[in-house]
Amino acid sequence: MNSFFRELAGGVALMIVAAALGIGANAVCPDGVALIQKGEVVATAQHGPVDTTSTVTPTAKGAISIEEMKQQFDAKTAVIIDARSTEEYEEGHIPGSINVPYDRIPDFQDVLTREVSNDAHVICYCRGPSCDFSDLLATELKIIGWQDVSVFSGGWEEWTRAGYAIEKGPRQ
Amino acid sequence: MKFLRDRRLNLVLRFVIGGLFAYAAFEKVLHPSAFAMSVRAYKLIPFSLSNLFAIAVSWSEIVAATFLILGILTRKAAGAIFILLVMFIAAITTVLARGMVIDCGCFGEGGATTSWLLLVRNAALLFGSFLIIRYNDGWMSLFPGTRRTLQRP
Repeated sequence: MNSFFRELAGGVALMIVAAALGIGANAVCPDGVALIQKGEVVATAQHGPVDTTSTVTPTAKGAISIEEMKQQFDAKTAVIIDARSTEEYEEGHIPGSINVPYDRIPDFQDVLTREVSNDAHVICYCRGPSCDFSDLLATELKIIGWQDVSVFSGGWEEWTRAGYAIEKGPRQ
Repeated sequence: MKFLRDRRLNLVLRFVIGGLFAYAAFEKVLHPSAFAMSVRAYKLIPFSLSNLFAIAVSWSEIVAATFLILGILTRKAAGAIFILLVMFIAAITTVLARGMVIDCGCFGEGGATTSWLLLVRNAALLFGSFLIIRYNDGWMSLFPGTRRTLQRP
C-alpha cells in the first residue's frame, strides 16, 4: 500500500507541473483568462425548503420584488432573461423574455450580443426563490460585460401565482 | 480475481481512461472561461480562484491522460487521475446533497447534469485507475517510471 501512496504523491507532483504549464500557456494565449477572477457574486436564492405560500421579500443586493418586476415589465424598461432550460421556457415564460439557459451561456452568446445592448437593464429569473440559475446567470453576465443586472428572485412561481400574463412556445 | 492483474486489462484501462480524460480536457483547455463558469456553479471554491482552478484541473487532466496513453510515468499519471476523480466525486456528492442540478462541466459546457449515475461512472473510473496504479508493469509504455516487477504467484 505504501507504493500506492507514493504513486499518488507522484500524481500530485505531476498535477503541479501540469498546472504551471497551463498557467504559462494561459499567459501567452490571446484567449487567456484572468488568473484571479474579479467581480461580485449575485446571491438572492434561498436554499433549502421554501415556503411557497408566502411572498418573497428580496433582501440581497441586486434582487427585485414582484412589484418592481411588474413595473419594469409594463414600462418595458428592462430586458428580461429566462435562465431556465429551453424546455421549461417553451412550456411558459414571462412575455417578451429571452431564453438563456444558465448552463449553456456560450451557446447563447450570439443571442445576447444581438438582442441585449450593453447598457440595458437586464433582469434574470428562473423557477423560483430556491432556484439559483438566475443568480448564476447574473454573475456571469456581469463578468462578460453587462453592468446593470438584477434578479427577480420570486421567478416563474411567483409570476404565475400573481396571475400575470404568460407566453408559451419558442421565442417569436 | 487474477484477471484484475492482467496486463492486457491494464492496457485497455489506460486507453479507455486516458482517452476519456483527453477528450474531456480538450474542450476545457481550449475554453478555460467556459469551464471556469462550470466550476463556479458548484459554489465550492472561492469565486476569485475559479479561473485558476479551472486551468489547473484541465491541464492536469490533459497531461495525465496523455502520459497514461503513451505510458510515460504511467502509475503517477494514474495517481493524478485517481486524485482528480476523488475530487470530482466529492464535488458531485455535495451538489447532490444540496439538491442542486447543474451542468457537471465534465466535458466542457453543455454536457450532462449532475446525477447519481455520474457518481457511479466516476467510481468505476476510480477503480480502473486504482488497478493501473496497483498492477501496471510497464508493458507497452514509452517511459513507465516505477513499475511492478514482482507478480504475485
